[in-house]
Amino acid sequence: MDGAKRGSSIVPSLPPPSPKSPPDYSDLYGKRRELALVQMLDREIGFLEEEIKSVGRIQTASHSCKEVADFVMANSDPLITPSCKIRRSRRIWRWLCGKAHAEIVVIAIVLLAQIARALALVPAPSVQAAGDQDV
Amino acid sequence: MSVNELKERHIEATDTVNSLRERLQQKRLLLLDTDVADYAKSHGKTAVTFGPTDLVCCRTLQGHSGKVYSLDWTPEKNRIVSASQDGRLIVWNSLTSQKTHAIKLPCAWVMTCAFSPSGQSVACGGLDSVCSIFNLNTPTDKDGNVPASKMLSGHKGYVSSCQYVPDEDTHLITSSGDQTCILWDVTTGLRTSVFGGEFQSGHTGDVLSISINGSNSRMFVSGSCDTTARLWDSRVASRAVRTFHGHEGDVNSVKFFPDGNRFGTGSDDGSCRLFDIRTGHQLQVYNQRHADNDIPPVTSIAFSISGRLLFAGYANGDCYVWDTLLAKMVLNLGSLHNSHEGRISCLGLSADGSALCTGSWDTNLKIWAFGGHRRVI
Repeated sequence: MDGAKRGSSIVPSLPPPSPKSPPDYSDLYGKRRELALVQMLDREIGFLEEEIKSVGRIQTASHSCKEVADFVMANSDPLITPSCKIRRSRRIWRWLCGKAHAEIVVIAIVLLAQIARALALVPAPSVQAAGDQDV
Repeated sequence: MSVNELKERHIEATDTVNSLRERLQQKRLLLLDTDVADYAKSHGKTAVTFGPTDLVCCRTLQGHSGKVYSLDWTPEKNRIVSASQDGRLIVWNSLTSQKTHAIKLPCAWVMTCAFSPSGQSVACGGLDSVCSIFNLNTPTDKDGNVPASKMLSGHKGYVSSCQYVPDEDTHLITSSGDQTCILWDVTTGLRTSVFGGEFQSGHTGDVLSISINGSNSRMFVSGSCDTTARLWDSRVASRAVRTFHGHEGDVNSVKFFPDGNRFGTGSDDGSCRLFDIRTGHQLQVYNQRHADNDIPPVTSIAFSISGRLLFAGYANGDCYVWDTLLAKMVLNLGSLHNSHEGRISCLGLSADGSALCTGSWDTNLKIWAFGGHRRVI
């Protein structure tokens, strides 16, 4: 039935074509760009909200500062020289000679003198293989 | 949504982001109960002191005819590679001052160089936006030049910094003026991952510096012209693990602290800072004191092997040695005899921590070490 009537002009005529001006490509690019930027910002908002929630669970700065100090003090440094250690021992002597520690110094000196006397009474052993000649 | 609606949404989202950042900053401030210096002082620590001969310049490496922009030590032996405005890479024996290689680069505008972990290759990059790899065992061509063994192309801006992944000659990371960092497979020459970029959650300005964590080589930090430093996990390129705010100018240099849980930064704002990667806290600020308001930018930083000393090079030729615990400047290498005559552009510690090398716009490199056992040359 449809095929027999194909030749007649029962099909309503379509409106005449009216060419449109070409789509504004820069606007399309701009829209996609704006959409991408908005999506990026939405992701950033999500990350920030997560971080705000997690901040309450992290330790205070003093814990981290302690870790830094402990690490530094536990490791030697070739650029912080032995002379710094000498200066530290000089400070120890100044501390020892201070008024509050005079007693400790006296006791230490007496003990050292006793040890020296004891060593002087006992001759030092000499190890010499048979056949060795004196220099 | 129409373009206008999207633009409005963009403005609202930007306001929301700024507001959330402000809230986050306020919450973080409540957790900053002390800094490293106050903690150290309260626990009886006193500053390191240096005598006049404790740290001296024991070698001056002369040979470049242009500004030195970058240097790197080998991980084991005492060799240094340097990159200069004269368009050459030079490989030096730091003990004898001899040059073992002088590589003329295809592009003279080099900004960075790095030794591979094995010491067999060097990488460099610059305004050509390419990271070039040179094998030091390759014989020179008929013109006496060493041809590049690989050219890593893909950045859309200059290559500002490069570093090999520790113990992996096959992977390195670059940073770029195109706002991204890239992890490369050197064998194939292909990009494994791109960190940041347009429409990605990454830096919003040129990336100037990177540092890979020596204790966990999957983690690295980057510093940028957007005034932030960012921590990345190389397995997750889509977003930074954390963003560190605080600086008020370009972050020119970043370097991990030896324990791998902190890192330092140096900035155009003239300050260095110490950040904690696990908590995000800013633990310490190392601020210069200047009579006038003209505070020179920090160009480069490095930590001593124990972390007790922070070396910072400045644009005015100063090279401060900071006591990291007490936040005090304990020595200025720039004021010593035989110091550089120009801006310090780069510096780095030897692998065993016994020597510091500085590079300068005066075309020289200098090596600094404990003066007790060496004769000053």
